[in-house]
Amino acid sequence: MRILVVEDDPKVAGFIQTGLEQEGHAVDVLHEGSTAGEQAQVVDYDVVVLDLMLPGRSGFQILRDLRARKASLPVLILTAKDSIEERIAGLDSGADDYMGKPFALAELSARLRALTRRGAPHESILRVADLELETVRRTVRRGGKAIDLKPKEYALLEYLMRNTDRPLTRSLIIEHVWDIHFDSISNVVEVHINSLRNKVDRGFGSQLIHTIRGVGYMLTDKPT
Amino acid sequence: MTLTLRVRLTALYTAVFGVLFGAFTVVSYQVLARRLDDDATSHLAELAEGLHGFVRIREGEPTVVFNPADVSQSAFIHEATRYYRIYDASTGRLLAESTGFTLIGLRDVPDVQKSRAQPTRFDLLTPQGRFRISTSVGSQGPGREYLLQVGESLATMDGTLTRYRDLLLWRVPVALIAAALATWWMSRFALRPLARVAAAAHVIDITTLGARLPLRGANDELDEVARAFNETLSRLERAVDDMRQFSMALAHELRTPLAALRGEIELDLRRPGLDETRRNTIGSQLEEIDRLKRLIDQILTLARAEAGQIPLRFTAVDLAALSAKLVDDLMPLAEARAIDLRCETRDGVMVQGDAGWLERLVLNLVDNALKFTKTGGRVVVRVVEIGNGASLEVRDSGVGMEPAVTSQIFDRFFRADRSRSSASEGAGLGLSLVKWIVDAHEGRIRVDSRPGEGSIFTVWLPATRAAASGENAGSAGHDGMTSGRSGGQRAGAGSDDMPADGLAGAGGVTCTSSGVNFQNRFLGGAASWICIDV
Repeated sequence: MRILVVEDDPKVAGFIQTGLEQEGHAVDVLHEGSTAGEQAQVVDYDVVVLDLMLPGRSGFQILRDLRARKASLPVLILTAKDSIEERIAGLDSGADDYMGKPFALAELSARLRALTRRGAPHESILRVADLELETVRRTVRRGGKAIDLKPKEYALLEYLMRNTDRPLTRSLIIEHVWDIHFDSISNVVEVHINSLRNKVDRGFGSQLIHTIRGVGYMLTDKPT
Repeated sequence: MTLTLRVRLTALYTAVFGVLFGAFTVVSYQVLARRLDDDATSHLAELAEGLHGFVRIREGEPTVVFNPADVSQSAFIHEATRYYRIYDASTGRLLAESTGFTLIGLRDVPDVQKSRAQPTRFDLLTPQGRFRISTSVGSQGPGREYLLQVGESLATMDGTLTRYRDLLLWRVPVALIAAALATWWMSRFALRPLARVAAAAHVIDITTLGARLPLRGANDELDEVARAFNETLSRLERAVDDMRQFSMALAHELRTPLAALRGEIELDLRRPGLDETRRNTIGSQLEEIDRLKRLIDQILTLARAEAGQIPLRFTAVDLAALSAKLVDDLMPLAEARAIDLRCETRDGVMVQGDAGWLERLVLNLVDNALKFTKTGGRVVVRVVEIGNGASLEVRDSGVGMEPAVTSQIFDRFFRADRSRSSASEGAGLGLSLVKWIVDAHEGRIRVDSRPGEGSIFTVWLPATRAAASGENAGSAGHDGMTSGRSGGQRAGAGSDDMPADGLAGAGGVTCTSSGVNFQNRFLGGAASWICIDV
């Protein structure tokens, strides 16, 4: 997809561009936001990554400008101001998602993917190798053998399978599987991943749930 | 034992008063005694001198000649002749003696030579009391000298002095007691404003630095103390504000370079052909950056909380249901370490609170309990209705704490002995946040702990906002309990500067359990996401 990044810090803008281009996206970078609206009108972007603290014009003004010109264009706000109130203010002024610095590149790309995929219908049966998950009946089988999962384990597996081959960060997983913010404490995710591994991977030929150190977890049947 | 200012003031004042009053007593007694003595002496001299004028000696027989018709003369003679005797100066023969003098019992013959030049005087103690005797020589012509002794009783004078002395002797202690009582009372009166200043100063801490002592408007020394104290508070408040601003600015400023660092390292990780060791090294660097980010988040949250910048949204929250749900969520953590985690509660224990922050409160307490409990231990969460509020108790069979430690655990960056918590992460900010949440809800928190046996954290939260003030007033100074106070947070809680309406609408779609505060879902920027997945 085609992505516009409005970010004044050259290093941050640089790694976003490199990282997203590596994933096969086309990325344009603006270091200040005055022309962002026009740019978005000229080029048909799929999504915009917008830093809130920019020299000259504030991110909020740019956001309003973007909204005025292209109401449906998804915008993800990127900022060093990361409090609940600021998030609420950001989302309220028309952003579609919000990320505090520092962030994982994997998470940025996952969020951008989700923003552009909005409204896409969900498959009712998910398959990875010999692992099969049926969302309607909430059943899981591997190699034809039924696996009994607790509700949280099931939710975790479904989220991993919907994002097959893509690394998911701890915070993304927490956001989707729990409705509580565990950020600063506890290794809730690790513990659940372990118990899920015991049921889904142990005793079967190949390992599907992988840990990517420093990034998160990924469900894949391809060798890493 | 230290003496209070009031006791010392009273003692000092009474001592000073005692010394002054004692000195006055002694001096006044002596002055009176001297004066009376002088009066007696001059009176006796008058008697003797006067009597000489009325004595006539003819052929060795003395007579006292006076005019009985003269009242003053006869009164004088009556008095002067009560105690007198006359000797012949040359022979030493007793010529006359009054009955009174005989009764005095003085038998010595006076020495003429001694009294010739000038009358002499001496005092004599008899069974009838003290007497003063004057001896003088008179002459009725050449060779007809005689010796006149006149006496007077000092009984009246001595009686007066004795009575006066007795009066003083019981008056001094009575006066001293009265002085002490008066000082005690007056000092209480004088020190009462000081006690008010102290009481006001006692409740001021870092969260209530905005409070000021009231001035009485008397413009006196106590107002001066209050003013000086208020100025100190203002300086402290400015310093603390500066520090908060600084830590907030610092935390913000750190985020962008950290983002750049993290991004570049993550790109490194994507390079093909990395071996396992290299991948692990890079992964470890990323983990450290994530830890830094969490630390910054916590510091910012605390700084903002203490600066009163976090508005709370109060609704009726079922603390029991909330705790049960959280315990359920954390159960795998406990199971992984064979800790018996259980929640002993029935639903329907209502409190007034911000559901998001109450969740954080329970989470942090349970997480803390799990951290410090060894494998095979037990953690029990109990929520019960108590008074007009709810009590949340988190009891663990963990390592426990020394009493000296319990008083510090709510301090920032305080961590009880690192070696005791197994591989725990966190910078010791979790309990500081717990303390802030409790304070912001006007609740109280207490820690009971025994080394080797475990700890019990007890939180009391009011069922209504009104209950908080009533309960707090009643329990001021409760040992070990920290009263929640109204700081900037409460003011913030009432204001509605956030776009609540729009969010509440969004919350209606995503909310699965009614008690969950929508704020919570925005942590982690989750709002739009939850919409998609449900």
